[in-house]
Amino acid sequence: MERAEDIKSYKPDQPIQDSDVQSGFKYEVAEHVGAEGLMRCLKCGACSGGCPVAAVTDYRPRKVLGDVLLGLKDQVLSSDTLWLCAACFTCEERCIQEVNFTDVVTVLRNMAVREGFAAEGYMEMAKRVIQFGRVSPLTRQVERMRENLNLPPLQEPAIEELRAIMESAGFPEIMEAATRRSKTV
Amino acid sequence: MTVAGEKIVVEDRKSTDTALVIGGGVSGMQAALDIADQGYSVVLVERTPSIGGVMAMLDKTFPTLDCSACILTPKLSEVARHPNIELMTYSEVKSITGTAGNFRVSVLRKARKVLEDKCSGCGDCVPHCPIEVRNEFDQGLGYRKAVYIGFPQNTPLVYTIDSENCIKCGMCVKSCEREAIDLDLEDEEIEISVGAIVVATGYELYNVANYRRFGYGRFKNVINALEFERLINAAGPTAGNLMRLSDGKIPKSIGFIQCVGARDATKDVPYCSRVCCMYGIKNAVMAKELQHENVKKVTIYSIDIRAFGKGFEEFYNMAKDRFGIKFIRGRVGEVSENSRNKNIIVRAEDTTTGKFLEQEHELVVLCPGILPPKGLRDTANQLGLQLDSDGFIHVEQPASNPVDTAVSGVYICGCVEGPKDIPDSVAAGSAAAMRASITLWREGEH
Repeated sequence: MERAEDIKSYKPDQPIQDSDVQSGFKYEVAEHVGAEGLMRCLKCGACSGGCPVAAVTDYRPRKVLGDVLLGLKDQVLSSDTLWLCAACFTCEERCIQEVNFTDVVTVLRNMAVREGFAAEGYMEMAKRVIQFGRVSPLTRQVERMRENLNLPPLQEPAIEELRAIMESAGFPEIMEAATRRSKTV
Repeated sequence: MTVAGEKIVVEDRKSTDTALVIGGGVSGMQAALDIADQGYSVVLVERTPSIGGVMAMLDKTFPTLDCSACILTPKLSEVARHPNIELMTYSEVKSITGTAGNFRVSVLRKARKVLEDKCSGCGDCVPHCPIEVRNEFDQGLGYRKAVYIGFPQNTPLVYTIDSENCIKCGMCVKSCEREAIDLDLEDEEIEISVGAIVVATGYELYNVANYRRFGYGRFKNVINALEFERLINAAGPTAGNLMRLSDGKIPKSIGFIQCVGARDATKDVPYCSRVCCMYGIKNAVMAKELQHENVKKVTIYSIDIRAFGKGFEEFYNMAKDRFGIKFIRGRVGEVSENSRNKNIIVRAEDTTTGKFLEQEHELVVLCPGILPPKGLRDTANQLGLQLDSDGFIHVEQPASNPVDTAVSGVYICGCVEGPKDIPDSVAAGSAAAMRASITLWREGEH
């Protein structure tokens, strides 16, 4: 009990200004595949109550949903907490209104990246994929472990083809948007 | 109304002078009384050995905290003694044919193996019965014999032998001075003709074990609200001593979890059950009232508190201000058990502050929602009635004719139409009685 209390950095919300609110934001989000259930949210808090991340950080699924419904576009997309979801699907499983929050988070993250708000870790990972074709570098240690487990050695990824797919999907532009913002800020 | 006189014999009456009421809960009883008081005769069919329904199991009623039995028991006696009411308990309606003014109804009278006209309800047979099983009336928390009455005010005051568990040892037969027990009695099916029908088959509670995350059935100290109701009832299995089931200690801190099987689209119960908020608050208040020395912390976890009725909002405020009950706006995510002391840890977000709560309670009460009763679809099919998508009986004109069904001569009251509290159920019972007697009068010869 104390554990959860101690790390609370959560402050009651700052007053919201009219200029912060973009009332069409929720419709914008709900148009995306996976986020259709957004408008059904009752803000009952069952998602936060069962969230393993909420137990140890100030991330609250309900708060994210509430902010989206309020239309706080910039606040939602630029916030760090958006990237804390562990995608365990517990909230999605328990939501009484079938909001499918994990899918909403995916939609929000995609929007955030296009706006240039990608979390650093995710950007690093993306760069690595483009560069090496892997999310994590292949090390000697991994190779040894695979040998010990009698697993075949990893194949070289087809980087050229991978890059071609990513380019036609517009991945470099998304990356650029994110990099641009981090330079201007 | 005070009533006296010889009991009528239904078989002698014309169908247009008789109504059938299916279900002997508070709503069906009210319907039966109001029809009978107008001079028509009534057959009241009840599935269990006693009339009274769920209200008989409750300890107090909201928002006045009146004793439930004190309101209900006089009505039980009135129904049992009314000359125009024929009570068929431990019976089920098997089939219904016909139209308004002339319905043919076949009723299965299950063998209770005790002669209703001979048994005086003395209970001399009980100590001799060697079989002990869980008492359904006490939600399985207490025990009864194979020859039993569910509760002291069982109406009619006639014992019942439960054929499923009876071993036919014959000890009860020997002990009965009035020779009221006959173990060879068989079920019988009888046919009656009635002019109008009132369906009042009530409801059943949502099975809270369907929510594995709330721990019911896994953790001993997680109980449902009706079990809590029996635990605080003076006629209940603990004689009104509130205790938790793991060790029999008085719980110092109690958590109530609302909306378990209500407003949940994923569990096919998207509707609000209307009564749970108020009975939750009532139970919380009763815990404080009964054990104010011991029960220190009572918390209610809810989505919203829907205190919509007369005196409800005041009751809610009184619970907060006078009894110090803590209300948390936040649906509970999950509960777990502290393996050392069997306390229950509740995880929820207080959505008004955004605080993540992990609170330990010695007892957790789940407040289940209301479902249509099992078998309602069969009854509806026989009567040609439609069900709504939520499983309750469809009413064509809910605003102007709230107790009328699509079939002329068939009326509904109580929770069979949708979740209702006691006053609304009784009001609907009276309304259905009026509608049924209008049908009887119209169909009769004048």
